This record gives sequence, structure tokens and C-alpha cells, in this order.
Amino acid sequence: MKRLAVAVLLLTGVSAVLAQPHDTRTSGPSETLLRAMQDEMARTLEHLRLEDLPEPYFLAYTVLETHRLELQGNFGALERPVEADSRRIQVEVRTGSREFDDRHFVGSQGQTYRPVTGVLPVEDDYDVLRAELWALTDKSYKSAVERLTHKTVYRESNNILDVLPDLSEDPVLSSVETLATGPFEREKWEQAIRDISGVFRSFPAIQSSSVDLLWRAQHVYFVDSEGRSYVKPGHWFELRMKGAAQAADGMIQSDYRQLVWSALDHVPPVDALKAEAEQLARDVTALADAPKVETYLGPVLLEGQAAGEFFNQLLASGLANPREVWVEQKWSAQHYKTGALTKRLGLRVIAPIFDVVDDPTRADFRGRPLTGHYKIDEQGIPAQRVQLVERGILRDLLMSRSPTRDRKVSNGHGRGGFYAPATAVIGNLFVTPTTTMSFEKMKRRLREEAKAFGLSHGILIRRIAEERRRSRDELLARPVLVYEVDVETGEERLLRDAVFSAITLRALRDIVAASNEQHVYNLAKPGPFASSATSRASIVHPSVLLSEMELVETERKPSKPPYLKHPFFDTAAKN
Amino acid sequence: MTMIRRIFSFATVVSLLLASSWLLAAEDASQDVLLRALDAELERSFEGLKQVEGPPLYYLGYEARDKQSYTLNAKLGAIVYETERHDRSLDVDVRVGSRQLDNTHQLKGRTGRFEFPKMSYTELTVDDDEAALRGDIWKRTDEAYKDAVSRYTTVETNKAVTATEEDTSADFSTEEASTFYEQVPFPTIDRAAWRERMRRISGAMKRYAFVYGSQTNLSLETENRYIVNSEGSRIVTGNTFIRLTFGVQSQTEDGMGLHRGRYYDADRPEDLPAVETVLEDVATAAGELEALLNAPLVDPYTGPAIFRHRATGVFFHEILGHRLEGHRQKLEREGQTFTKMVGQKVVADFISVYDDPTRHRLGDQFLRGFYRFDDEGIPARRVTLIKDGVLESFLMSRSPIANFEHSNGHGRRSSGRFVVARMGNTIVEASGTVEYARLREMLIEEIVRQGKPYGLIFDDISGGFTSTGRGGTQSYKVIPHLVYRVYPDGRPDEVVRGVDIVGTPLTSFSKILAAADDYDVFNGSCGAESGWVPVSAVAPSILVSEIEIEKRAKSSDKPPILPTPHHAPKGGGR
Repeated sequence: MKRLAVAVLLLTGVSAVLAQPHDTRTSGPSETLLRAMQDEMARTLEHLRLEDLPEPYFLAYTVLETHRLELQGNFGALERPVEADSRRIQVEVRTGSREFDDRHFVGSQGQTYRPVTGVLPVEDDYDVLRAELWALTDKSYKSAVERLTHKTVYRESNNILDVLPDLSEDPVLSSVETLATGPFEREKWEQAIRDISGVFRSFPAIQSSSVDLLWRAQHVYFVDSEGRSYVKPGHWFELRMKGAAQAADGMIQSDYRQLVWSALDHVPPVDALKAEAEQLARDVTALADAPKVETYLGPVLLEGQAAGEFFNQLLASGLANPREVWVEQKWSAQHYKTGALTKRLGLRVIAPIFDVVDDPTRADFRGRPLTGHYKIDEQGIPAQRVQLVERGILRDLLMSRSPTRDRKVSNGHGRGGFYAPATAVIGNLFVTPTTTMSFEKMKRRLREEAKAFGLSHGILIRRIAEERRRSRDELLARPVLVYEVDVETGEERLLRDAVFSAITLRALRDIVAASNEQHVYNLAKPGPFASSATSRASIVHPSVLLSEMELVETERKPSKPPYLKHPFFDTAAKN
Repeated sequence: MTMIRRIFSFATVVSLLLASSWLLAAEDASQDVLLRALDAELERSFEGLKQVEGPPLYYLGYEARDKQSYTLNAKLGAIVYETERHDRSLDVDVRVGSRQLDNTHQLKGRTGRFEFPKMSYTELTVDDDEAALRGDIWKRTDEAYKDAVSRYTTVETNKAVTATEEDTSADFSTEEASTFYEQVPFPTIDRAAWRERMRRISGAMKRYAFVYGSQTNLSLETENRYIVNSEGSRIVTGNTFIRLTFGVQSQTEDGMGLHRGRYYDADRPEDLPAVETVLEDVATAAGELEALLNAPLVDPYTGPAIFRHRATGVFFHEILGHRLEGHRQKLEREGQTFTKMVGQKVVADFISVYDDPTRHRLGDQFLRGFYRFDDEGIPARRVTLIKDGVLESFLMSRSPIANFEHSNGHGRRSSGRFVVARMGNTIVEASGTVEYARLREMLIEEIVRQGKPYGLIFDDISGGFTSTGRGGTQSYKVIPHLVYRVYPDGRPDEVVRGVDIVGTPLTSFSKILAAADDYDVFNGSCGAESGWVPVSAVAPSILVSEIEIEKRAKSSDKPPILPTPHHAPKGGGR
């Protein structure tokens, strides 16, 4: 066994000296890559056409150059470590014209208009780069031509007269920005993941747990046929944690953390991350011992992260993806729905005490970094501050380069692309109340309102599960940390197995009070489409009191507990 | 015969090696943390779960895999990516009930993977951390046990409500336990030197304007398997698989995708070919691709043909190999083509077929189907499937069939699947062979005798697939990549394209006329209900009196519109 251990150490030592890829972090932008992209684009525009068929009128190339480190930690030990360099290319070819092209249409076979993607060499070889671009451009063009034909037939056979343009007219600019990261320090992070995941050795109630690190040092290269180009950093440091335990009646209790930062310097020290894991373990252990929730209808106080996810899943998701897509297959339509609030310009979408602004140009808030910060969106348009809501009324929309009925140009919010079409997604969302009260006062108000309902307790929620944990028909994922608050004494008691019932977007208008603290919630926002890339985002928001929410017991079924105890905690069997 | 003598002496060397390495490695075994963790958790789980109410637990087995791999991929002179991985995974096999009827019994009325027990594997830590390892082993064991108990109930019901099976063999054989310890180290290579070689090889494809796609890939993989079970087996055994491949693709105007390439398989880096050899092969492949681009489309045809050695190997793998997998002989939904034919002549009497996973090489060529212990911990054995044309035996896992009660070391799987009998190194031997030149002459004679305009030579195939189920057509398909028309009037051989070979097994078998002595190896991967396993097929070229071909299905993709950029005229257009 010693022999193998030595071999493994040698390998990890050598791994720093892998292929000689171009590394934008240290060498600056790759001129070779940019030149290859521009040259193939120029040739395509000049020569690429199929006989009498429509020629390309717009082209965009996006390349993700990534150095990634993925580590999975389990109970103090590492699983499947991976460190690798890669370059992925996305090619978008449009046929037709700005007024009517092959986008925003999904045909009867479910063929979508997502871009074509492939792999590029990590080494800078002009000829090979162009050869890959050429092959993918050819493929993308052919499918665009077919799609344009289908879309034209669809329009004619359905007699559609009201047709929106498919590409807005936006300013053209170029920019170059690179960001160094310093050395990856793989050994340090491997040990950190062992230490953080090892925290669960002190929690015998936890049956399974994991701590995963995903560190992507990334630069994005973009060139389009209207003259835009950029090189920009897209670093991503993510820690995911998970812990699960089982209540006496067999119901599994679990909670997760998905923590995201946009730069290595923003990542807290390992001790702070361990503390986060410990908190997760304590919460899950407490849930396993807690009583079950009983049906509740009454005021609910959402504190901290719970308010953050509430605003994310109802408000942010409601404002995403404002452009309609024509979908031929009925069963596909559910995957392309526009954000539910995007049709409500001029109408009330949230309680009148709120102004809502999205501003990706802000890099931090009161000293705390905002992960939703960016200067140029994925389509090469400068990020803009958008006054979305004034006194509860929707005044503006998040826009990508897909025009809508009411807004015709981009405001630099085109995101979530790569494997899916880019669409409008939040950057940094500021939910700002114009009247506030202290959190203590809000708790008192919760008790008063509950008492007025004739209840013996109100409900305070501190954690709601992340957006991607929603089931298909849920608007809001389940609450994880739910506390009943005694109306007389204010004492809190944790409850388990709750889900929301009958939640609609109305809940945003049911907010009756907001706290004077502003929380910063940095999150990994899943894209509107199933295959969308996740976007870094931030929501700056208060805690809020809702006049009325309904909670019921989950319909999830219990599981059989394990027959034997976890070996680490089985003191009887230890030899 | 030279072949038999070579096998015998090799077997002696192998057993000596096995014995000595076992003695030397006893100390290593006790320091092996993964082995210790598996052992400790197996004992605790087996003792603990045996006491649970319900159908009795009578067997518990673990198979852990420790896999290290390295991949280097290049294209047209540049490195595309380079990665290395270290993974560990665990499969848990649980049996409740009794040897005669347990939870793994076939569920009638289901198909494919669903008639076998649902399996899944779990990841294990790559650290030598006993606490973390035991935690994961415990969890998967608990889940596998629960699955076994619930399936056992379904098995009992299924048996009660369906017709009595024809083959009433037990579900699990009695076998002896084994102990063995050999860790195979991951080979080291000069990565900088290999990057240069890969750039050169892939760069050589640049000069061909008709090559629209190409790949060049080097992969090294070492997998050490740990098999620990409640019968007392304690085995650590490993394999290294190294594969260098390249491929070049093009497309005809009528939408047919064409591909030529080569695979080089080895278990030692020094056995990989020199760059110059590969460069020659690249030039040959490009030449073949160009010939195919200009080749006429073939029409459906029946007539005499030669299968070159590697093509013969695939042919036997598909027609015969899968149909001799033991479990198929008792599964009610299987076609059971050969089940009742033991002792009968099934092929020409100058043909014998063996499956021998203990065989490491043919001459210098590594055989991918080599292994010492199968995935149930049974020592690999050379099995005589067909002797002088007569069917003798089947490939067996620990699932007994009528008249064959024991495993012969062919129980295999990939992670996450239930073990079934699979091939290893399938070796076709012929007696009374002729030189290949003579075989060609015999082909011409047969063409003339049958009054056909031409015959065919199948030079290279990419493998195929076969359907063995009762509901299906019992046919097979082998997909040739390089086919030549041979004319009896002395014209040069002519490449043709768009060919698929079809047929039914028993008919094709009866039509083998002669064999040459030019043995060669087809190394590949075989996929079936228990997943993908590495295999090889060794065979000589054969002459078949009648083979049927049909047109291959093709896509309608047009070739690329513009020339490859590095071949475009200055100014870029067509």
C-alpha cells in the first residue's frame, strides 16, 4: 500500500505542470484566439451561403477559457479530485434579418434555438482554432437555415400578424479586462475541504454529508459581427454543503448551502467556512428532533436568507426572460415561459413600500462584495442601472438583446447563455423599503398579528431552500428552518416537514413591514431555461413580514432508518 | 501445434507469477487501508444484518475499484486538453433467501436491465481514511440490503403468478474462496515527450483538405479491483489499459459520413508504436478515406466473401460470443439459440473457439480481455466453447444453468451493474489453414463456381450489435468500414462504400469454407446488460461461401460549405 501512496503523491505534485495552455490570467488576452475568431467570422460573412438560401446576417463567437479545480469532501476525506484546463466555444449564427430571424422559435420536434457548442484546444494554434470555429459555424448555419424555414411556415400557417423583432439595435463597443488569481494552491484547498467536511464527525445524528468545492478561474472571449468584442473575467468560487439526518418517524431532514464568490480574495478564511458547516450540521440535527408542523394560516416573518430566497424566487424570477418564444409543441411550452411579472408594466407587483433597482455596475454594498457585479453582459452590451419598481409599481424591465412589446433595446442584462440562449436575468437586485422598523419591532408585530388571527403562535422562517430545489409546480421552494413564536412569551420552537401551500405572486403584495437591516444575499441563480448556465447574482434586501401565508405538512413519505449504526459512531462495535 | 504449446508454457509462467506475488504481498495487504475498511465493514454488516427479521441474508460481497487515469487529446497539431483523475467506487452485492431462490432471480415479463436486480454504485474517498471509507461502505450496504429484501418479495410473487421455468437451476453456485494480492501501479510516462508526439501525429492530418474532422487521443488507465465477500474471498487484482487512437472523417456529397482510424492497445507504455509507425498509418488511413470518398455505393448483394482476421473476430463475437453467455441459456425471454445444442456440431469441424482471459498477449500484442479474477472473485479460466466444430460449453458466472453448475470465471460487469457472464479474450482457432494468398485464390474460385460477378473482402469493422431476445429477429449486424470488391478477371480490387452485413447466426455459421493462418487481434469494449467490459477477439481470415449485405442507413448531412480554413484559397472563399 505504501507503493501506491507514493505514486499518488507524485502525481499530484506533477499536476501543476500539465499542458502549456494559454493562461489569460498570467499572460493577458490571447491575440491568437481573438484573431482566429475575427478571421473566421469575416470569412463566414463574406462567403458562407447555401445556394439560394438565406445567408447569415449575424454571428457571435463566445469562448470560455477555464482552469478548474473540483474537490468533493466527505466526512474528512476527498473524493474524485479534478484539476483541468479547458476551452469551450459557443457559436451563434442567425439567418434572416433583425426584424425576423430564426430565434425565439421552438419547432415541433422540440428543436430549440440554443447555440452550438464545442471544444477548442487549450493551446494557441491559429489553424486549429480556425478549423474548429469553421466546423461549428457550418453546423450552426445549416440548422439556422432550417429553423428559419420552419418559423416562417409557422407564422404563415398560424396567420400571425403581430411579430416582434428578434434582435435589437444596441451600441457597439470593445473592451478588454483580465483578472489574475494567483496560484491555485491545490494542496491548501484539498486540506481545507477535508477539514470542513470533517466537521460532521462531531455530529452523530448526521447520516450523510458532503462539502464540494468548485473553483473556476475563467476568462470569456467574445466577438460578434456588428463589431463588438470583449475579454472579461468570469471567476467563480463555489462551495456546496449538504447534510441529512432522520427523525424518529423516519422522515429525512436535510439542508444545503450554496455559497458563491466572484474572486478568491472574497472567500472567507477556512475557519469561517467550517463554522458554516457546523451551523448546517446543528440545524439538521435540531430538525431531526423537532416536532412536525401543523397546518398554519397567518402572519409570517421571513428573516435573512428566507427573505432573500423569497425575493429571488418570486420577484427576480418573475422579472426574468421577458421575451415570448413561439413554441410549436405544447409540451415544450412550459420550458420557455416568460417571467410572470414581465407583463405588468404600470401595475403593482409588490407592496407599495418598495423601490426595486437592478444595478450590475455596483461592485459592493457597504463593504460587502456583490457577486452579481459585471460591467459588460454576455452579449457585449454595457450593464445599466434599471429602475424596475417605484413604490410597488413596475416601471421598467430587465432586457437582453431580445426586443419585447414595450422595450426595444437591451439594458445590458443578457445572461445565462452558453448551452442555452442568453436572456434577461438580474445582476444586483436592490429591494429597498421606504419605511422600515427594527427587527425586534417586527417580531412584536408578528405576535400581535397572530393574536389578532386568534392563533397561539406566529411563524418565523429563517431559511428557505434554494431555487433549484423547487419541484415543477412550486413557485416557492420549501421552508427549511421554521419556528413557531409564542404570541405571549415570544419563545421560539423549531418545527419540521413544512411546505408552503397556495403561494402565488400575490405574496409580494402581502408584505406589510420591512426591517431596517439590509442583508446581502449572494447567490448562484439558475437560468430561466432548463439548460441555462447559472449566473452569479446578488439580492440586497430587508427581512419582511407578510400578513398571511399558508404552511402545511409535506406529503413526502418517511424512509426506513438504517439497520446498523454508522460505523464511526458505533461505539459498541469499535475494536 | 505452435499455438497450443505457447499457451501451455505461458500458463505455467502465469501461475508461478501469481504464487510468488501472493507470497510477497502479504505484508502490503495488511497495510492496505481500503482493504482493511472493506474487511471490517463486511464483517460488521454481515453479522449485523443476518440478525434482521425477514428473508435470511446468506451472502454479502463488495467490489471496490480504484481507478487512476490520464488522457491527452490533440487535434491538427495542438493539444486540446490534458486531464488526470483518481476515482474510487464501490458495488455491493447482497443475496437474501437461499442459494436455490434468492432476490436476484429473473423477474419474468420485464426486459433488459429491469429483469436484473437494480444496482447502483457509490463513490468512495481516494484518501486512505478508514473512517470515511467505512461510512460510505456502510451506507451503500444498508441501501443494497433494503433493495434486496424488497426485490425478494417481488421475486416470490412473480414466481407464484407466472408459469414454471424450464431451467430450474439454483440462483447462486457454490465456489471456493480465493486470496490474492497484487496492486498494479499506474505507469509513468514522459508527458512533455508525449505532447510533442501527439502534436506531430495530429498535425499530420492537416495536409488533407478532404479531412473535415479528426481526433488523436492517448489514454492510460489503471484499475485495481478489491473483492471481499462473506465466503472469505480477499482479492486485490489490477489491470492497466493504454490506448492510443486516431481518426479522420469526411463526408460525401450524398451525405454519407466516412471514418478511418487506428487503435493501438497496450498495457505498458513502451509497447506503444513509434511515432513514425503511427505517421505511416495516418497516411494510409487518409489514403483509404480518399478512396472511400470516391468509391461507388454498393448495392444489396449475396455472395462469397473473405473476412480479414479482425473482422472475423468481431463476426464471432457477435454471432457466437453473446449467445454462449451462460445466463441467457436459462432466461425465459432469451432466444436460446445454442442452449440445447451441447454435443452437436454448430460450425465447420476445422474451427474451435475458446475464451481465455488468462491470456495476456498474442505475440507482442496486448489483449484487452486479460484478467486474473472476474468480478465475483472467481479465478479466470480458459474455456473451450467449441472444439472441432462441436459445442462444448458456455461462459459462466456464478449463476448456474442446466448441466453447468459452476462458474468458469467469466462473471463481469462495469460499476453499477449486476454481474452476468461475459466474454474475455475470444479466440478462434482453425486447423488445416492455408496462407492468405491461397485463401484469396479460393475466393476467386468460389466466385466463379457460383457464377457471381464479384466477391467481397471485409477488411475492417467497427464492431456491431446483436439481438438475442425471443421477441426479436435473432439477427446480428456487423458494420464494415473498409470493403473491397474482388473480380475474378484479375482487375484490381475496388473499394466500395455504404455496406452493412446482415444475417442470422446459424445460417452464416454453416457457410465457413476455409481459414488462413494470419491471426490478428481486435481489441475493444463490449456492452451488454452488465455494462461495458474490455474484450478482445483473436481470429484468422476466413472464407465464407455466402454473406448478405444491405445498404447502410446514412444521415442527410451535407459536407461543410466552405473549405477548411487552412486549405482555403487566399481571400477565404470556395
